[in-house]
Amino acid sequence: MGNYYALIPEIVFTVLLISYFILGLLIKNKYFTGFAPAVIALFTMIFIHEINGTAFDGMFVADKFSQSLKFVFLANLFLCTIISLRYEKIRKDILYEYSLLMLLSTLAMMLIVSSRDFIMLFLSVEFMSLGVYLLSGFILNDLKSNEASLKYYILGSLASVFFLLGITIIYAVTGTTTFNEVNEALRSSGNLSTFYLFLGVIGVITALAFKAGLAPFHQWSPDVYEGAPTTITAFMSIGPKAAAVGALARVILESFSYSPELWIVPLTFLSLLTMAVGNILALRQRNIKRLLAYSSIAHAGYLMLAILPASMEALNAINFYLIVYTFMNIGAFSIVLLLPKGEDIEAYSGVAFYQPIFALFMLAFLFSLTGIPPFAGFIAKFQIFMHAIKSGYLLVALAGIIFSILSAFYYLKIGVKMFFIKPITQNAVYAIPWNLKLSVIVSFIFITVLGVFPFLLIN
Amino acid sequence: MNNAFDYPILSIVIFLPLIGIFLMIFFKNLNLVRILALLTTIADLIVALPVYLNFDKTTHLFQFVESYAWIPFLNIYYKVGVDGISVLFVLLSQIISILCVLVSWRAIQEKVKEFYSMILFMETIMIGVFCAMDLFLFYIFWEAILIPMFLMIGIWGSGNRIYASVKFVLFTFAGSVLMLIGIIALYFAAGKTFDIIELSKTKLSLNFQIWLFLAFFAAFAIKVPMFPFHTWLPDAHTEAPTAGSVILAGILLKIGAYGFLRFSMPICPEATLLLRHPIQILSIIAIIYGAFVTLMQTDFKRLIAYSSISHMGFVTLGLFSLNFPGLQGGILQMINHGLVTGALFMCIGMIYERTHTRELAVYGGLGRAVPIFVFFYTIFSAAAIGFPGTNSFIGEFLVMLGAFKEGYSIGTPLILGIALGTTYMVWLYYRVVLTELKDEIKHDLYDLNAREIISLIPIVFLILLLGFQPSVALNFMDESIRNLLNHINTVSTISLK
Repeated sequence: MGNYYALIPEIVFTVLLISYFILGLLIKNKYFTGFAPAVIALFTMIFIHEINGTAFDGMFVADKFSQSLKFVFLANLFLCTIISLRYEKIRKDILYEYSLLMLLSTLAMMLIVSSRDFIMLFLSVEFMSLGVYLLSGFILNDLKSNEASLKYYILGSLASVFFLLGITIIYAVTGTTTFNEVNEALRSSGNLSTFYLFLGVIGVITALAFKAGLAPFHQWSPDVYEGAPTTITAFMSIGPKAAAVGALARVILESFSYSPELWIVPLTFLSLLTMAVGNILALRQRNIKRLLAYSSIAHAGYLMLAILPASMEALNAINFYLIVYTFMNIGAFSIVLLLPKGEDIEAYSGVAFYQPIFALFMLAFLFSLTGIPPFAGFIAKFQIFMHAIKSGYLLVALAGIIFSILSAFYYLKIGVKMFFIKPITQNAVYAIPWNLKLSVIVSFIFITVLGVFPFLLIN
Repeated sequence: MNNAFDYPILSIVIFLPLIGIFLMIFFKNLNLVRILALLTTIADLIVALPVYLNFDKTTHLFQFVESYAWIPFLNIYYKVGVDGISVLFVLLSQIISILCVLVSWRAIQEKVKEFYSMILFMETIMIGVFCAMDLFLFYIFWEAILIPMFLMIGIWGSGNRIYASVKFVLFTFAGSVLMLIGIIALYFAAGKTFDIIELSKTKLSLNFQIWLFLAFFAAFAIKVPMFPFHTWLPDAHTEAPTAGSVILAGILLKIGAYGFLRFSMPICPEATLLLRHPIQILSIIAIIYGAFVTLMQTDFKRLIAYSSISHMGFVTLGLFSLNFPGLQGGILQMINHGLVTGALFMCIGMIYERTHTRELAVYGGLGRAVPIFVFFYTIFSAAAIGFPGTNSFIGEFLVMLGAFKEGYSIGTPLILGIALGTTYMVWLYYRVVLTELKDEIKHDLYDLNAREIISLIPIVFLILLLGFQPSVALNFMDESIRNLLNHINTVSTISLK
């Protein structure tokens, strides 16, 4: 056995989670069930920083990369709990289960990005997915929500099959499931069966690409995002995606970095296709949740660009991007929740006329998602493209840039509705719940401060 | 050269307008908001006076430099400073901002506070663009200006404003992200630095220079705009509110030409020499095509918008003649165009406030109805033509000098351009000022008030000052131009013809 130091954040989180599990059965207070996950998330955040090391004979690792991704998951949990507080579509009597599942899948995400072994990675991914499958069906009597849950579950199971198949083949060829041992095996013995190994890598990439919503494995995501409760859509568009991208980055960097011929072509293809599909299909969407679904597909495509160089600095770019992405996406989803019928693009007509401040915030989120300074989205995108160009993927980066011009169009479409079109309804003045105010303002502060002072985070 | 003052004067000049925006939050009374905006812009000019007065004209080096590490691990600095070229544009930005506040006094009645915050925000960005000495910082300012301009056209614009604002953003954004690729590639080629002084010392291979030049060209040519990337301009100009048009004409178009001067030429000297002929030809096409299209316009504002394309052709032609008078003329013409076209847009705005139409068919006989207005309008028209005694005469003359020095085939078409320019302006003058006064607008017309006169007088003053004593501006830039030409000639292996 041995050193559990690296596990401290997870241990703290698990202990709090179990306490919540037990206390929640006794205390039937909606404030307790509502706030507890947020408090747990904030409390665990204290422990993430400064914890480095490995545990379980190297199966589990806590390093800078996993630290910052854990920050993303906890921030995501915190903000999603906050925006769920007064969300009416979730029945009050299942709020306890709802919060519990969010906590559990966040724990799983933390384990995913710390995994250094295929078996542990597989188990953590399954652990996370089960929670999210359930969460996406949490509007109990809504057909779309139920459909989303089922669809996600069935397709997700298929992806798991590929995942296992891939791991099995990799194990068969190299004789190990630990990341760095796989890498060593690839380096030391040149006569491994490349064909089977390639199949194995494809299996793993397919499964993780499915979880991250990369094209051509993205078909589930618009439907699931549309059907799921909006709070969960926000949760899903960040947590599982970040976890899958993080896991993919770690797998590529730690277990296949010596044999780029195995993954360069598939990943480049995935990246280009994802950016194309995400940005082109987003152009036609009139449902904001679907639009944000496609936009998040596109963002996953940009992130793939930073995996291609397979270098530590590029991982920093991924970290920064994901942190920024968390805040701008949560911000945008908070605005969707804040407007009555906020899912329809028509609801945005003339928002600036009766909610000027929040319209400006939304515009900031949209510009940040497009990648226009002075917002942090620009710095994030800049770093991604910088690393891609540095490693010689100039043409791929160029394609990415051209697709991101398209993205300006559909993000602006919302801005145009908000600012330039007169409101359709007269009785549009209403109070904004404090929790949405909080999440919007927190997100706005983060994207602005990180945009102007990025050195606070990168160093 | 370091900062001659012991306080960060340029940063104060750049960010002072933001304080104005902050103060604006506390004011409810709209007139107080207007006065506050005016005071902020004037205060900014006063704060910047030491820069202009203590500016050392005998050196090409950057002055009043401030440098702070901003994103250390990428070697990005917050570095600002001015040289002989940029200092003039900082001054121009401040003058234009003051005029924009004045000209919007009555025209903007909706969302006044937001409107003035946009103007002040833009002033910060415009000054920032011209002061930035770090390519990354420059890019941030360059892109950030999209946001207020998008909102300004979209919210306070007229008629087809949504189309115009989206088109403006998409065109500019497309150009600038291509530039971004170039910037990143340059960053690695030059050994991880964004400092423009370091960058211009770097020796790049010719092939790389050409690609880099084209990447920058995408952004700058769209912003100038050069033919054939000009189609966003008439829409944006026509639909924008008066202040928006003035800022567009006065500063935004100049940023593109300034980019050529500051980045394309020093960093890719050989590519500049190699590619100057196609750009000269594009400029000539812009001058003549722009003038012909201008002749056909029936909308007052759109006409001036198209004339901008023609005038900006003079600017790019002057710059890419790559000789001393050409560059002098090009830069002077940038300032002239900013002042004169800005003034013409202000005139149109004033008359539009009265008649609520821009249709030329209903105009006529203003000479009798509003003589003070016509007094100013005549001066500005003369300046737009390049009448001797006005600033454009000097500018166009220098550009022609440069162009003829470059070759007769380049210089000769300019004469046609100038003739056409005179034609459309004089014909416009005839239609608007001379003919019979039409019934449609007869009862709406009243002459300029004191505020409007005050906002036009400084421009008249500057037009005549630069017309009779151009050395006021030329003295500032001479050393910088000489240094630039020197740099291009020594660095490049291809010799100038």
